[in-house]
Amino acid sequence: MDNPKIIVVEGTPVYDIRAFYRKEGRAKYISHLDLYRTIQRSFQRSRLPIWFTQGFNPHIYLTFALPIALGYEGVEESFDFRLRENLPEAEVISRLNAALPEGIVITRIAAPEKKAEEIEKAEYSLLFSSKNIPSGELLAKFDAFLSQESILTEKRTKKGPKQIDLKPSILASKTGLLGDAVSLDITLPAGIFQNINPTLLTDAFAAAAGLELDYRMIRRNRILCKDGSVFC
Amino acid sequence: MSNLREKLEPLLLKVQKPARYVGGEFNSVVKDKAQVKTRLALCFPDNYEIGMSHLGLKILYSLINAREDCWAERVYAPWMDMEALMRENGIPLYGLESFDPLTDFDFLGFSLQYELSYTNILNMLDLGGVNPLAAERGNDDPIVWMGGPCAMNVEPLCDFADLVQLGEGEEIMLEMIDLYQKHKAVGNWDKQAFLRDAAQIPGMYVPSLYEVTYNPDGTVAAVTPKDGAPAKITKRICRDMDKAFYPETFVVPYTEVVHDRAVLEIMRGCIRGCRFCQAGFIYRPIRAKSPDVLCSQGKSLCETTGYEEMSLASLSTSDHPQVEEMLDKIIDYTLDQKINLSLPSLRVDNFSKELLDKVNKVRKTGLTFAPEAGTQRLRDVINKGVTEEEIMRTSRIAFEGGYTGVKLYFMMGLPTETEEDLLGITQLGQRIVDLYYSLPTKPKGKGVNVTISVSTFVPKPFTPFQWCAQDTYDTIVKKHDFLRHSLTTRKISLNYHEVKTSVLEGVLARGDRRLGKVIYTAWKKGCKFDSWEEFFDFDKWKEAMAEAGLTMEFYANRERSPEEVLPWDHIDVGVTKAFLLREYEKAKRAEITPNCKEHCAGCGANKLIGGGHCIG
Repeated sequence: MDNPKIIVVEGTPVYDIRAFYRKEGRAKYISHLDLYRTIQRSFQRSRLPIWFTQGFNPHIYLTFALPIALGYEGVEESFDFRLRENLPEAEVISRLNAALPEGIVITRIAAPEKKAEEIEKAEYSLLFSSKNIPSGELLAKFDAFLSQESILTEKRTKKGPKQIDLKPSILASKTGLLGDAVSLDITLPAGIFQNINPTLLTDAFAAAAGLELDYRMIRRNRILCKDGSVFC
Repeated sequence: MSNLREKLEPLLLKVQKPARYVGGEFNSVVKDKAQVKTRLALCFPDNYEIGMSHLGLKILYSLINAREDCWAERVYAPWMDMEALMRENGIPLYGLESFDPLTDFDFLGFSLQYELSYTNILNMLDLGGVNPLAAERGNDDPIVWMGGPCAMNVEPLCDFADLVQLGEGEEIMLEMIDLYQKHKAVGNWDKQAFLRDAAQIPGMYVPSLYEVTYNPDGTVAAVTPKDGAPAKITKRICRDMDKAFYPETFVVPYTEVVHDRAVLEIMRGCIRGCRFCQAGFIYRPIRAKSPDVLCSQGKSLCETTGYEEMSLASLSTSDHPQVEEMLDKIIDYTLDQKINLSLPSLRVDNFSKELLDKVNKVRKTGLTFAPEAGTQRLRDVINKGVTEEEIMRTSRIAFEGGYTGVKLYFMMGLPTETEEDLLGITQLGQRIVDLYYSLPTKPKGKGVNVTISVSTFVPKPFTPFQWCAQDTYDTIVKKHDFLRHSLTTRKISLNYHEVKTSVLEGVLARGDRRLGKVIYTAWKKGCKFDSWEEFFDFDKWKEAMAEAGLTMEFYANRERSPEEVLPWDHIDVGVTKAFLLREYEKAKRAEITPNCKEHCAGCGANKLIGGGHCIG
């Protein structure tokens, strides 16, 4: 890499790297915990000079700024890892991609610029339909649901279920019809302080309307920082 | 993308762990179906997590897929939530590689690892659009074949299987495929003609070519072969394990499975001869891989899977003929590569100081012993060569090394068991507790915990106890109570296994062909995933038995005479019936038989490797 970020651990330089990847197709069914393991194993297979954490039980250093939920596709997701040598970007990408399972593709790597704490929001696109009613009707009901003054639902938290109002969390939204499905583009708070998944909103809608939703696509498009820039 | 996959897509977010159902795992094999001649589905009749952990199917998967003209896929039993959605939406059970329904395959192979998975076989066939009853399947339906340890007495499944392979599948499977392709190439496909020819392959059992007659008392009168099928079917083995096929890589699952690691099979067979243990007899004779072969196989597995953990598989690691050299080499590799090695309990008495230090670098799991019985007398009856002295000595070393817990495994309901033997279980636990507190090295403020885990003994075919009566449900429950009341300290925790499932396991293990109806009826009544306590419905099984005019007692709780024709007598696993009977008589006299390394007991399994000594 041309501008590596070098940190020194116990007197040895290691190279801090952020990989940007797409998660699509069947890979969307990999949960976060499983993804973590999958990528560690991919590093092992790649034979890259990966850095292991020190200590009694060394393991491959790997960290995700913003985990992605099961069932979601991702366009520009990222994880951080460390190498013991500075290698050309193209080589790291190709060796890693050869070792990754179908549906996870590294698009670029770079020295990390932003910190996970700087993440503020994320943009999503969804497509959904319901066997219960035609999509035109579904769209009308969903628009009405969104235009309520408050949208109360229960969110699972570490301290148990909590009643929250989703309305103030909807930072931007656009609905429409695409083929026989309802489309939703939405911006929601994201990051380690507050993270709202769009399916929390659509599931709340389904429950309130007494409908069963079939998700055709749930995709995270971009992750944005407080200063408005894309997380990089 | 196949049509099935599109229909599946909207369902996957409605079920738990959808990664079980989508395939695409690293190293899974996808071929062009137009380019292969024969398609085989390797089915494990339990969920993905258990099926993906099974070594035998991994071997066969790689073995078949190494052939260009064949494509093997994986099929597991979908969990309840997924099955309901599949049935509701008309989605048949499919192969994870192609998403094609079971009806598109030439062969559907089922691995028989435990009796309580049998109803899942019927359910999977049905869910795949295949009639579970062999007699009702047509000429062009897939061929259902079975194998695995329970295939040694496959009689209860004869209504459902077309073919059964006995013993190790590596060679016989390829011969079966060759024969099938030959028949297909000739044209005018006739399944019955193929099955008749298949019966001539050594180790291949075609149940429909045998007629079973019964005596008025319900015992088997005779098993008569027809159409030239052999009177005795002898199991197949790989003679030389160094030359036996072993996968260079495993399919690496996304979602965590039970055994999620590189598994290195070091040896087949066991020299111990514990009289209750079916595996100890049906996998004989002992055959080991050499350390160099193991090292290269282990290295290949780790490098191609990226697994961070490796385990050694065999019935008894310590009995590997070159155990020290093997461990020395493997530990060197795993330490260097930061791979965790899990070593099943090892006897380390004779190891050099250097090797011992290396073994100690490997992270240890808990300290466990399997005395299996509470008194030396009963341990002699079952020929379990563990003495109390050894247990106390090893526990002392472990406690001095900082351990504060020991796990002990026992069986209840063993032949000749008395109250004294049961008391022996808790007394042994108590002596370990006392030992802990007697040691000056005992860490301050830390108590000891001895866990006693008790399972129910189930007599199995091809063991010296195949003639024994299994304890009834009521007796076992009474023995549990007795054991619980004999406890004198809270330092001992006592766990039992479910008793009802053991009763059914006993019935199916030593069953005959008449149980086919019972299994079918139980499945029709809704039984599946019987090995999962939350789904096991004993009442339905009882009803199914009664409707077939049979009793569980006949199969489980009846002592057989040595003269009785056993339902599996036409199967030859190597060890002879005369040897098993000799062992049974010795058991009754509480006489032990030395292990194969010390002295050949003449079990008969050496004929499978052409005679002579198996070891040493």
